[in-house]
Amino acid sequence: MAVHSLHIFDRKGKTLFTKRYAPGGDNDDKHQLSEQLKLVFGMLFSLRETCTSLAPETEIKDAGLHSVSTGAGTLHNYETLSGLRFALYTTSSSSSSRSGGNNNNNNGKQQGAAIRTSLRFIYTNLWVEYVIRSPIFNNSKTMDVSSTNFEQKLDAYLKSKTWFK
Amino acid sequence: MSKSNAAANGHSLWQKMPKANAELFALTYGTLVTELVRDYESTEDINEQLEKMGYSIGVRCVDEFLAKADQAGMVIPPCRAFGETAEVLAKTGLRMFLGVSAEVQMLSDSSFSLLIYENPLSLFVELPSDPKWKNLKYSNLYCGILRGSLEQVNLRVECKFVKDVLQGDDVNEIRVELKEVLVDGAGEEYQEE
Repeated sequence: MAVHSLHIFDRKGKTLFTKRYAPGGDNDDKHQLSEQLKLVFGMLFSLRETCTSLAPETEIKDAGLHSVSTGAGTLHNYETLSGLRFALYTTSSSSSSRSGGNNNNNNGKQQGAAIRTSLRFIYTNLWVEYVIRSPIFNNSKTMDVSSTNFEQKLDAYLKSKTWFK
Repeated sequence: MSKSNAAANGHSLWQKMPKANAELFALTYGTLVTELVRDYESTEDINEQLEKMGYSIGVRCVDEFLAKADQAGMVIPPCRAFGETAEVLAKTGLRMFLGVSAEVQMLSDSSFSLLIYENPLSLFVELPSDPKWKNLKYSNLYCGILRGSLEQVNLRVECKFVKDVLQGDDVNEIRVELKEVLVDGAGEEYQEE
């Protein structure tokens, strides 16, 4: 299982940070990439609206959208109350085999939980520490995430995870 | 979130936060206000500047609050009524960042008053008795902080200092009024042209 890319969106849908880890794929055509990100955000936003209207009115912990999975990969999603969305796209390493259906399911759930914990860690320890606390971050064109050392810390953290290739 | 829960959460979060010297904090803020007094003519301008500074602080506070609570294993559920927001703010949020908690009074569906008895910002402060300073809201930073942080959770509020210990009242009172519940929407990038 390999991490393909990580995106961070704010409440309004603006992309705060995006990084691609897998080689190849689309060429870095900025316009195309930003269109793609808008679609990703739109999907996460609409799914969240659907989830909140479907969910019952009780205090369930973690009641947001966790992940969207396809045959090719899974988009893991972590949202905070302040509207920050972390989206991590992973691709499954082994090709899907019909016989191992059940096994794949259980493994998928464990990996999903591990990734969700990681996304929470990225939020509480990396984002808050290095971006929110940085006086140079102002969420404007000139003073954005690249002016902090968030990316280096993020890379260092992800490299230390066993499921990251 | 029940009242006792909020207070207990606030207390345990306060324990976990790194502490700064209270005197250093109060004196630094005092120097800041003195600089503003030198730069600006009218007290309204000074109040406004303090509020703006508080706003950018508040915007950052909310993520830190949510992150620390999450790390401590607490669940901060989305508030179902404005009163819940007020309780969480007063008992958990203020307690976590300042070490003092506030009381919520005069709660209605769209406004409440926060009563702060001990103000760590005004530790050594005395305002001169010149009538010019009657309008100076020394701790107006709080109003900005409340406005900034509530805006990050989709509540547009207006905060005003109603009573100030430095001006002779017995308690600090901040009146918070809910103006609008903002809707999570797509921003300018998504508008059709």
